[in-house]
Amino acid sequence: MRIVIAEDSVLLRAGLERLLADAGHEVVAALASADELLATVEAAEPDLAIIDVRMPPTWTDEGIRAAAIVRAQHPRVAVLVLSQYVEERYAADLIASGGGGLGYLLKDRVADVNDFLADAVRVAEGGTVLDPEVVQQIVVRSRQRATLDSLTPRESEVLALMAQGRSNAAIAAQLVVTEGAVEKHVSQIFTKLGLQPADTENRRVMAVLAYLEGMSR
Amino acid sequence: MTTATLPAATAPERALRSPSGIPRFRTMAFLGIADLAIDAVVLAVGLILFGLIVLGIAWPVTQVMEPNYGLWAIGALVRFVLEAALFACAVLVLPWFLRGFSWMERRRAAAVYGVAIAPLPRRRTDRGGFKGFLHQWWLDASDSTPWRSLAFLLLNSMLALVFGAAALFGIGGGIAMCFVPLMRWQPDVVYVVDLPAWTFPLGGVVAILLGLVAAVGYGYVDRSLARGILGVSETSVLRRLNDRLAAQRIGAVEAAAEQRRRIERDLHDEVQPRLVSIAMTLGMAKAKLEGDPEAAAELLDEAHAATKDAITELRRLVQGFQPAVLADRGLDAALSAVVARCPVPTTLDADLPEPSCSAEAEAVVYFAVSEALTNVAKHARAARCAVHVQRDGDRLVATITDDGVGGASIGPRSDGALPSGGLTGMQDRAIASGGSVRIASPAGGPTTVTVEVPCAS
Repeated sequence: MRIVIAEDSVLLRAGLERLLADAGHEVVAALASADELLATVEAAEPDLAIIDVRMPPTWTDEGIRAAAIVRAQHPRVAVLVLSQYVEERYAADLIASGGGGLGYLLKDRVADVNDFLADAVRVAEGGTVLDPEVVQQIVVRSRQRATLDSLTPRESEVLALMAQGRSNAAIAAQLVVTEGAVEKHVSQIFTKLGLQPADTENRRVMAVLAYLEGMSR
Repeated sequence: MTTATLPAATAPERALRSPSGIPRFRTMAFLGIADLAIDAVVLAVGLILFGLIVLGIAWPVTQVMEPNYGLWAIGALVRFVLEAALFACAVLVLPWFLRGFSWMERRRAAAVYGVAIAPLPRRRTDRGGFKGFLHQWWLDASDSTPWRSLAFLLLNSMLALVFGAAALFGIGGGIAMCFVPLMRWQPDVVYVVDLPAWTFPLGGVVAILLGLVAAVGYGYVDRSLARGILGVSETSVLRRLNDRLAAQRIGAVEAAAEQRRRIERDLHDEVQPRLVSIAMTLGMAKAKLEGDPEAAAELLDEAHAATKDAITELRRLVQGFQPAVLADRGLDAALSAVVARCPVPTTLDADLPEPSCSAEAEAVVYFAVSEALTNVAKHARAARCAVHVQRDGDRLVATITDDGVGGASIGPRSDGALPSGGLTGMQDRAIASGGSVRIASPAGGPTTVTVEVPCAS
């Protein structure tokens, strides 16, 4: 797939480029600022834009704002935001900006090369991938405390993995259980939260996130 | 004594002043009279409080002198205990009552006479719990504010009585005297003083004028009294502010020193050894690459995992200080990550209305919550923890409560190795921005850390 990278650290930019090229992807452009990114996305229409959060000129949330613009203006371009730290408020901004595939991960995750490449492909295909730390923050802030407390520890684990955008197969592999067991947990969780079962994986993530985020602000 | 005055007048003050800056005559006369009523009520409450204190001292003496036999003695004892409790309450309330009165009088002086009287800045306790309550009482009681207030109350009430009576009798008597010539004179009554009839209205007019002078004059007397007694000298206000700023400066210096020590220690003890160990593992892997590729792969795995740990460690370390999200999304948003990171299940309840407090105030509270939660994780052995952050008037207040073992305290300074170093750093930073940290942590728990910072710091 065709990828644009916006990352102001030379080392990381070069590393990402090499890593993605190694896996057979085409890196259309590797840039150092958000402004350049918007122009390049406009011109090249890549499948995926990998964006760093802290970039010039202020090194605060340029990447988040650029990602929101890309998602709003180019729904076909998937966005994977990488950051030194993850913040649920930034995640909420990204989700609210609409559009297609979305990923928001700690930069640390790049170190697990195969997982990272798989996540990039999932995002490019329109899926949602959120860092476990973001999901943890969303759960902590959720006003649905009473309902969340009614979940068993295993159900809480499954809920967190669903919110990260994992498929049933991925959840089963992570928890070392069968897919059937995961399906049972998922339907149990949906009953407890009072949610309608979703037909696709991405709708499921959105339903769970909307539930957790929904009334927290 | 020079009275410390504030330069700018508020809108209501300006409205009450004539263009020349002097309060209008009408306002002065009206408020001079209206004030008598307010002062009477305040004096009554003050006297009751004072009476209770005097009674509390006098009662035990009379108890001893009366004959105490049998059941009667028990009744006396019960009465004595009740009296003592009442006495304690009165003693406790008096300084605060007088403080409140001083505040009210200063507000009144500002609204009525347009004189802004600067109060002596209040000293605040840095201790928590019941001890803090008593210490605050002592700080307030030993300040000059309540006693100036008492002196003003007594003196002003006496003068109000004199001037009030003069105004009442002067105006009332004067009106009566004006009507004396209309009275029917009894021919068989011998008058002691036989004055011509026209002198009575004349005397009446003079009496009315004197009464009016008394009513208006009270306003002027009241104003000078308020200024002279309630007002404090500029020097003492500045001295008090100087003390406060000196404490803030020490806090800032200590906080910075503590932070440098922390960064140095964390990098030296946590991150550096990890990197050294990774380098060693990679070196071994390199050596085994040709002879024993399987062992080399294992070592590479190990180095990979250790590198990821070091990255996580470094991220945690840096994030405690000043995350970017604090600057561009505010305290509420920034706290999510801090609370989520705590290994003890923690709930967050933040109520922060717009406009938000200053960046410095938010940074101090962020740092304090982060430190407090680190302490909870390291020392409290708690099962649950709760963080509340809210605006309380012009102050930003954070409360961190856990159900752990308690026994937390702010340790002695300049010993970075103590576990309470975090709390000391937290306190130093709060002091530096004019705030305070209170810790209530009895052995056996629960522990409550309260951080308070002025919103505008």
